[in-house]
Amino acid sequence: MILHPTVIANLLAVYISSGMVLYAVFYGVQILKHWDIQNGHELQLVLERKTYLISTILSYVFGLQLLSLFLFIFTADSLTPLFVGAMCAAGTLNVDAFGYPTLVLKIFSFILAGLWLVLNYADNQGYDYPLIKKKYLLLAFVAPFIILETILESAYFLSMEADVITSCCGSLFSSERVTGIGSEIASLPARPMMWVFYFTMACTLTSGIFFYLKNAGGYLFTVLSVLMFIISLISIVSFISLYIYELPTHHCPFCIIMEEYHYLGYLLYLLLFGAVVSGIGTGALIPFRRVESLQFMLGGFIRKLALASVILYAAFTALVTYEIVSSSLVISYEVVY
Amino acid sequence: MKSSIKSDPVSTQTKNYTQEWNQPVQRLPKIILSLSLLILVFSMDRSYADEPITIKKTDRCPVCGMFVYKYPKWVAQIVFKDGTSYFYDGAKDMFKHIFDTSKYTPGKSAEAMKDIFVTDYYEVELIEAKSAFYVIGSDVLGPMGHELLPFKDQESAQEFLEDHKGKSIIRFQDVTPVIIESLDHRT
Amino acid sequence: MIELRNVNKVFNAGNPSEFSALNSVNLLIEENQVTVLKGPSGSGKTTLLSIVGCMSRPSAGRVKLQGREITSLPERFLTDIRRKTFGFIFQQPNLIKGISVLDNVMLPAYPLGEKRSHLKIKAMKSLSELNIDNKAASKVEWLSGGEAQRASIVRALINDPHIIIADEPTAHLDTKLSNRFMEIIEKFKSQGKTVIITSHDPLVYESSMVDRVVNLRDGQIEG
Repeated sequence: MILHPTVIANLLAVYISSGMVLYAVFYGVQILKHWDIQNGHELQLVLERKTYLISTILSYVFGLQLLSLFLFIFTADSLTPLFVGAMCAAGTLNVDAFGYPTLVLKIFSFILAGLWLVLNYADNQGYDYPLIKKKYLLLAFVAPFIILETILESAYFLSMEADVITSCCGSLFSSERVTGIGSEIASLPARPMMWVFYFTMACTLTSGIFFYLKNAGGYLFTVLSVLMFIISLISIVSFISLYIYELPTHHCPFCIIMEEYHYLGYLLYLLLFGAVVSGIGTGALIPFRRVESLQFMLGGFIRKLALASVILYAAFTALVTYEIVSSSLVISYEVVY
Repeated sequence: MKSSIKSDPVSTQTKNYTQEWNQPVQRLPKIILSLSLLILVFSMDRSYADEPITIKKTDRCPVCGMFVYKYPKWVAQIVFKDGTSYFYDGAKDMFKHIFDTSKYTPGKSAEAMKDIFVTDYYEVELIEAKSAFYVIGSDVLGPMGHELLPFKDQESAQEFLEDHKGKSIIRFQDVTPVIIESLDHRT
Repeated sequence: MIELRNVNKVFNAGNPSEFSALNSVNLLIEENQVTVLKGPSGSGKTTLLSIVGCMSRPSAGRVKLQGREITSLPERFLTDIRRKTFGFIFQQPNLIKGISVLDNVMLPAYPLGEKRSHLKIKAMKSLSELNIDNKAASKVEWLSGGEAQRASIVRALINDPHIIIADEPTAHLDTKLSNRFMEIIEKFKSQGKTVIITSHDPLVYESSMVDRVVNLRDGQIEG
């Protein structure tokens, strides 16, 4: 194992998260089984006290979880000097078989953690814990992801060997290689992909604004925001990266976080992930608008979430467009990469 | 990147000194002069170490996108006839560019290349790529993994091959896309 | 009206020093009445009072305040209700040393964010009703016992609460001041407020303005 401070930080974060989540799930199960706000039995009152503590702990843990995705990418980027052939996080993640699976799982955990935080916030606004069972059900659903992520991330860091030659992102995300999802996305033609990106973004933003103003079509917006998230990730590999690097063959989605590109990648991913979490949160809370104790605030909160998602997606698009327009790269129509 | 001495043929220079040559002056300074001229001539087409290479922090290898300034010992360079030049993080990527120029730099072709340089592994100075000796199959890894290691002469290439378990020494014209691919696929 | 249903309170549960302060208490406190909780020391009066006043939670059972269940409320809602519904008068005046009487009296209103000038007017009016407005700017250390008690009463009233809770209010007052205190309580009643007092002072529980006396012994209600 490589005793780099970032590696230790990552492992610590993920172990603490898992430990706290397991502790919370234990009480969550009790709450799911015995919770009854009407009766005044001792167990109920104990659970009421406990949920206050657990919600607070989990808020911090899931907040940590959100940060740990970025910390993970940062770590992969910092470790590149140790591996021959790696020049960015893409290479470091390829050092053993666990790197990319860990990343995928971390992305899932990020979204689920964000969703839990939204649900928790809404639950805390009601005086009778209206969403408590849903909250702990979601926790039970999220917990296996976090545990699996911990296992994979441990395996990734612990089986890292310094004398491995890893692939450079140039070949991982090259349009030449037939195998691997990286090159499959990279070989998507750039111009058509641009059209798909902007068109879907326009639909998503319109749907979001419509929901904010008219309070209708919330579920459509949620679906669109998830779709937009996936399309944005694909677009980054397919054409956005080309403009940022000003290299017609460099599709890597990880080099954009480097200092030489002014850490642009972090900002782009922050906007994107923030947008999808608030978009999904919107859809997740819509069914509870009728709940009595949340009547006075939930409607407004959901609309604000939708607006936040719209603003984040818009900022993302603005940034991407700025990069494309100010880039000295010109993708000619005939050349298909 | 111009050399400090213009590429005048030796004959022009010696013409200027013909008159002095025929003067009945001491022989010693002439011997020293001619010897210096000879040394200068023979060292002219070997190294460009005295010129500073200004690699900007933003210069990237067009093949893999790596920032070249991080790897000063491996720098390769191609200067095109229109004055533009590109830097690479190793001879391998340089050859990749040569073999498929329009892919990495649309609008340019291999015929438009004027000067090609690589960094001698032992001396760590830029040398002419076309006259260099490349060792492949050694255990020394460059930033891109398995590399062709350039040397300015056969002897240093041979010495390196023996020290680092190299497989063979090849010249510029011997390098083919197949060889490059085999370097990429070695683990 | 305040309703207590099967309220238990146990301290140090599970330890050898476990102590049951309240045991299956069922109680209904009517609006606009003066209710006195009477009993020897250790009978659970103060514990009961603190549960009624949202200052602690029972170990079991439910408490309803004007129809609204308060024992399961998350803390942030509870503080809001506590601040707006109750006014607390303690045995000791518990005024904060080092600041003036006026500042002490305005303290419970700060979290509500009212404009300071408005608050000051309200506080001065309250102080004058109890005849200590001339002491508004003085430091609390200089007040006499009775003046301090009156200042603490003004403090309890600053948010215009509906329910006044007083824990042994006459314990450190002489007869004259105790009578004065009961007159103030009568005024509360006429203003429509509900008053709950714990006391083992006969002057209090035998007073004519008391509507109901609840007897507590060993954590249970007698009779």
